[in-house]
Amino acid sequence: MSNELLEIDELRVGFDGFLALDGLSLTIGDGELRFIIGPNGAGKTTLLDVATGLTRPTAGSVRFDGAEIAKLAEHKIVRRGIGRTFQNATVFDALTVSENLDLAASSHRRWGLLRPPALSGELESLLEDVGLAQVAHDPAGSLSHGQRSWLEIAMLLAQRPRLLLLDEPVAGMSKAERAATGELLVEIASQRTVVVIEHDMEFVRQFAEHVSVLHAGGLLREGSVAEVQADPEVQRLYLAPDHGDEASDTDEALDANELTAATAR
Amino acid sequence: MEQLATQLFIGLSIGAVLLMVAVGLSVTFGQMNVINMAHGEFIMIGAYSAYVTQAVLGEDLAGWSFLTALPVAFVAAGVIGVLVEHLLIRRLHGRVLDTLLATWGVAIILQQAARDIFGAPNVQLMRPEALQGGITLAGVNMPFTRLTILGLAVGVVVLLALMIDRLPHGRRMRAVLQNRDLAEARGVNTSRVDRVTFFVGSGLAGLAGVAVTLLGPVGPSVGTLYLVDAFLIVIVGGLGHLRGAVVAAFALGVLNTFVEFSTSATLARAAVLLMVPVVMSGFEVSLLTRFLALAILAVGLDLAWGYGGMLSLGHGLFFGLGAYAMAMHLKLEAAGRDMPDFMVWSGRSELPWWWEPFRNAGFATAMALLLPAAVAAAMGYFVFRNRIRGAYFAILTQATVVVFTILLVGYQGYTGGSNGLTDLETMFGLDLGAVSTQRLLYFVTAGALVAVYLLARQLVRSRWGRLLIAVRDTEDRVRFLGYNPVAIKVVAFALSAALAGLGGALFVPVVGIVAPEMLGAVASIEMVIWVALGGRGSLVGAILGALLVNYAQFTISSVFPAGWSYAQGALLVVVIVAAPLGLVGLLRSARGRFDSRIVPTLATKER
Ligand SMILES: Nc1ncnc2c1ncn2[C@@H]1O[C@H](COP(=O)(O)OP(=O)(O)O)[C@@H](O)[C@H]1O
Ligand SMILES: [Mg+2]
Repeated sequence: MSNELLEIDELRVGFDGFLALDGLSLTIGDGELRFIIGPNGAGKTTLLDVATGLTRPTAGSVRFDGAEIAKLAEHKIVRRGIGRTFQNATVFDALTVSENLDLAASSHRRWGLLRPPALSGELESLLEDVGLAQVAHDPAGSLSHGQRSWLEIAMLLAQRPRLLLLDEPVAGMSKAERAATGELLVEIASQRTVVVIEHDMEFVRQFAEHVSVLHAGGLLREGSVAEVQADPEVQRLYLAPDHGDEASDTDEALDANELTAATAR
Repeated sequence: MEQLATQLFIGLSIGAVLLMVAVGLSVTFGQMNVINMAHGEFIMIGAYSAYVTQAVLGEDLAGWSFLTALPVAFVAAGVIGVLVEHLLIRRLHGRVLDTLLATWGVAIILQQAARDIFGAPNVQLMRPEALQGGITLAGVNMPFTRLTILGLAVGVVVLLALMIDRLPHGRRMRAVLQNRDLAEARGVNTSRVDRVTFFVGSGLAGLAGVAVTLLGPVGPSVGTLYLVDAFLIVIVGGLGHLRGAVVAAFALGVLNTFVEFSTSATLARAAVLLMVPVVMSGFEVSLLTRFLALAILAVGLDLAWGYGGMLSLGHGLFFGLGAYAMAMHLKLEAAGRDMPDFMVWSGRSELPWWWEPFRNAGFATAMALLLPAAVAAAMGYFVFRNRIRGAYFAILTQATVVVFTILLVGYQGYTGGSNGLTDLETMFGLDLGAVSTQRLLYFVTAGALVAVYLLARQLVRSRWGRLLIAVRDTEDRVRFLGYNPVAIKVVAFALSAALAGLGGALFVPVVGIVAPEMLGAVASIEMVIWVALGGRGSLVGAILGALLVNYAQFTISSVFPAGWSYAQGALLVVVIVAAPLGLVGLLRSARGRFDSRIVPTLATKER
């Protein structure tokens, strides 16, 4: 981790006097797979919003690959190599699944934009990987909740960004889907830098190595899963004190998830 | 060589089917001056008659079903043809445009009926055993089915020729064909002649339908496919000329198999557009030309609103810029070496410097497109960059068009004021009042509309078009794929404005005048109504909307001026409430293949 890809320094974001991020500093190394956890309202989504230009910081800096990006327009940040997904998977409902994917992969084209959408072999196999090949020509609006998340992830991959930011990618997914998503993320992380915001602790335990804990707009702890879990303050705040019974733990996490998804809508 | 001969043979057999269709079309058209858009549906009726006949006869008698189906199909199609003639076409005698639209409606109804009765998927008939296999002659493989079709067509044409030549009805037919009034005066019962002709013509299409079942599966819209080519044949072969039709049919059939001929609905419409002025009076032609020019604007408006979500209540501005650019040129042409009359009346002694370049026809035409595009691009850039959308955008565009008309009226010495630019008499040296000029304008405008439609269709199907829809529904998300929605919207809006300008430039020579009221705030809202009624988010819908609404307006307001406003208002309310996707949306949902692509328009956040 000699190379820092994303450097966040003393970031402050205020909404009408309320500070959603309060002097947050955080770095992500090139090639890392980082999980960011924290209770609802900790500022996780706000962090992604600032890193992708959706929200402007009140103070502080965001550097990507050494250059300041906090004041760039959204699409320019994307062109530098940062891609993201949203807490409620957002895709283009009126377009088909393959059109969605094709658009995601085509932003670098110029005259190619005047041609009809056409999936390359690479994109087709991507559709296979996320299990959407069967519904490639259906409108995205007809997909189930889980399928939408998958499509959004596939679109993110089709963009080929250097840094992938995923906001609660497994929210609302079944247990099997979660496992598959986790494996996919680990595989992607072998080639790209990936930041995953997650709420589901079992998922984190299963797939995370390096974890950052956000709380009240600041960084609370950082370390391996085991270290973070062992931290009394983190436990008090966020984790269930007793980890003996994994199943019930997961259920709780699931409920929390659904709650977030529901309130976010 | 043998390959070629086999291809030729296949082409001839397709030509045979086309011939049976075209012959019927040709006689009814030649004799009654009627463009029957439902003629293709008689093929469909013939095909399903064969299907029913086979079902009734059962498997044991399947061998006989083809022969039995021929008279059944002939009578079935003939009877329905006579019904259409009696109930509809006769009542619309001499009203070509009405007949065209009404029979189009019949076609839609008949297709839907077939769909309801037999289901939407194609049906495949069993091939009679006697017709399986074929003969090989000089290396050319000739299946019996195709030989049968050829034989059938030849027989039909020979019989028809004999009938026209020998039978009393044929003589009467020829008499009516040559001079309807004279024939009537001599005591020929023309309406009876018409009925018989229609029966035969429709019946022949029914026979073609039976033939088609030998070639492959058939479905409810089988007729549309053949109608396109039949129109072409009738045009190429000459109206009402049997021999011409025979040659043209076989030529087209052969051409079809060699060239991958794109028999799309577009071509059908294009073919109809070509035929129309041949049968209409000069006045009707210029009326239709006006509507076609407005349809070009509607396509542009639909690109911006239906596809891009930019509801413009100010397209009159762009229409007006195009119209005035062209009108300035025509006004200078009319004035010759003198000053335009209104300038003299306003006491001006010199032509304003910015009028000068409009003496050049090329400059005026270019400005008619570029001026609206440039104004729209500039306006769009500032508005979209500041993320102004929906209602704010609509109000802004409406305000702009109000300012534009105030300027037009206020600077009378430069613009002709509220009278506008009047007494435009010639265009590029041609007399605008002459019927030949009106026909020419018609063809130019119809050609422009077809070109604009094809271009727009290409665009909306491209990635750019998909992106435009994405921007309409979820503009902010598009940014995170690396696109700049502002650029996409500016281009779309400018293109939309250029099309409005083109419509305006084509509109002016037809009406010979342009005035501020034609492009003001009210006119701009009416433009939106056309697209809303026809169906936003569908190019065909926009065109249909412009044509139908303007046509209805013309018809209703000429008899009952106040009626139009009521009708228009009521229609709009009904459509917006009950069918937000307009006529095309209704048709699509009736067909059960509601295009989900445009469904989200309903939920589009028009912030
Ligand atoms: N646009 C906004 N306006 C006002 N408050 C906001 C806005 N976005 C987020 N917040 C507040 O900022 C805090 C952090 O939100 P968020 O980053 O979404 O948290 P997390 O994703 O960690 O659950 C929350 O208290 C939220 O209510
Ligand atoms: Mg969040």
